[in-house]
Amino acid sequence: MSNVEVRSEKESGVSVVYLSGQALDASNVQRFRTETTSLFDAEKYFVFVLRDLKFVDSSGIGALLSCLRKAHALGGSVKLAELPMNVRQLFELVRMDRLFEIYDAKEKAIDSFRS
Amino acid sequence: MKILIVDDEQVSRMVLSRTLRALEYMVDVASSGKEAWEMYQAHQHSIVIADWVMPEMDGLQLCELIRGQSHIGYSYLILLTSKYEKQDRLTGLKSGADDFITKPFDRAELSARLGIAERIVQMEQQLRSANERLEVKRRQEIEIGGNIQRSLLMARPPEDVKAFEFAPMNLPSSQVDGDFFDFFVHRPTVVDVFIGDAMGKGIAAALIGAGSKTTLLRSVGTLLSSSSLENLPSPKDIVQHANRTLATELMRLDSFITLEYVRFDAEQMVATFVDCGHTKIVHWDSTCNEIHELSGTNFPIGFISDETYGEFSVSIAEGDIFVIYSDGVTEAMSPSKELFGIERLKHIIREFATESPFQILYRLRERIRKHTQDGELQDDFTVVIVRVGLSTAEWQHQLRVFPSRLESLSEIRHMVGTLSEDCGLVKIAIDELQLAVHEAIANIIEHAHARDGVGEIEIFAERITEGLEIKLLYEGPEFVPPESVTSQPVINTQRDGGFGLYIIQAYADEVTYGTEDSGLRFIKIMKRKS
Repeated sequence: MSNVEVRSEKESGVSVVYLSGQALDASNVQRFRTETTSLFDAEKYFVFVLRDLKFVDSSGIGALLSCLRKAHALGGSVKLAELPMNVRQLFELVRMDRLFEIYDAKEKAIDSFRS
Repeated sequence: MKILIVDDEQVSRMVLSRTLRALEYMVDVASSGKEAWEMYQAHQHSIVIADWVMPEMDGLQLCELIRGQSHIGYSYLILLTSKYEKQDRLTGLKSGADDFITKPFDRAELSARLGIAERIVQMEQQLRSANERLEVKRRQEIEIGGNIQRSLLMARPPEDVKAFEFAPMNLPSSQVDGDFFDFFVHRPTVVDVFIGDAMGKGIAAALIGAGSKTTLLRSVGTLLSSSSLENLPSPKDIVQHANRTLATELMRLDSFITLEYVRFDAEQMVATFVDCGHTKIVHWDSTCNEIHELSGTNFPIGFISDETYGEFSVSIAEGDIFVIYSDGVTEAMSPSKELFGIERLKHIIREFATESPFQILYRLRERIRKHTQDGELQDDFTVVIVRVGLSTAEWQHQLRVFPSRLESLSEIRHMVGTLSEDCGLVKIAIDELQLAVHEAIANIIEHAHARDGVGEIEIFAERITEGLEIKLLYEGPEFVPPESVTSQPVINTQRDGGFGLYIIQAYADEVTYGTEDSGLRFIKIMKRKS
């Protein structure tokens, strides 16, 4: 099973979630969904930083979408930052760039919540 | 225990339900067959007492309906008959009734008969839960056996050997058999291959196989340390050493091992065999286009502890093919109980002798599947095909088998990455091919193999001029991709899935879904170099 680690920090009033590991894919989305549920208990503005995540598949996209949905339901949002090239291309392929705001740098994503 | 009563006569119904409640049963009451059937479907009563004669749906029809459905538990069916109506009990039994009670009924008799009914229903429940537990255990055992097999019993072919090309394959049977094989590279020109089969089935056989393989490797190591580089320990000395270590233990366990130990030596252009009761090796001699069967006369490992083992040699030439295999190959059985046999094996080797070893392996697997017509493997299927001398430094085909589980995904991605690099695909093409194959595999696991999570996916790779072609082979229902797969998926946050097929379509240069002659389904994905 591929590993994915989730670590979150509060930065400038935004919850920054670092996803790292071999993959967010069909083999571990179930665990990812369970582990991320509690994130939405206290927060609603998120930046997911994906720079250390090597691989995402369609199940991984599904899991990220459901995070976005949860944040929307709370009146917040999930923005993505620092996507590796292959992940970025996949997001564009399935037009996820229309649903997610995607930033090159984490700071820009955080700032965008202020404006 | 809950009882359902059905009778169209109100008085009879009341008397019966009152009696049963007095006997402390929970009772549901219906006044027609139709009503009873609806109640039964909702509650699956353990005991049903139905009046034989009723308008519309009578007791017999109700019995047939209940027996005809496929719910898991057993319901005990009692028909109420009348003294005054002549009824054929045989017809009742044929409709699925278990017992009969004559109206007006005697309370003591009714109580006794319900006692029997309860006992039968309980026994059936106990039997069913025992069966379920056994099934869980059986599955666990298959999984443990399968894990031992993949991790301990099998091996990857050596990569730094240029004088020989090895194509191994193992498909575990549902029971796990204890087949094993491994390679030992003395130098790039001298390689030992052994393949063995521990007697018996299940985890015990798998563990014996694993222990034997370890002992053999240890024997190689021990004897190597006391010999010079030029003077390698002979195959017969290695086998003899291992037998001395293993024999007593194997005898104590009432087991033994058949083994084929072969040394391929490209310096002397000779192959040396120690055959310990194993299946005959098939050798295609490229110099005269002839096929030979090779076998020795040694006892299996574990028969006699001080057995002296003998070896024999044949000279080898560029292009020669050797097929070393377990009896699961030649003893694969057709539905009419005909064995696959060595003649068919030889025929395939002759037909495809000039192809790459993995291509031969692929063809062999295909023919055997046709022969067994998709029947479950009775024995482990283990084959190592060896070709002498690589005519080109590049492989033409690769074939590997993975368990159909999500845990295999990362290993498969890794394999696709390595193969793509070998074929000269550019970075972005590699990323795309990896994802396309990954999505296809995830689909197979989720849809075709979701039923029981048991099965294999075979990955057959072919190097083509334009790039790389990867064929995923699996058993399962036919898959026809929907027309809409070529258009971009509709985007909204309400959906979580359905991108998989689109990703495959977009990232593959060509993709084909189909069925092979052998009945195996396949997804073929082609990717160009750039």
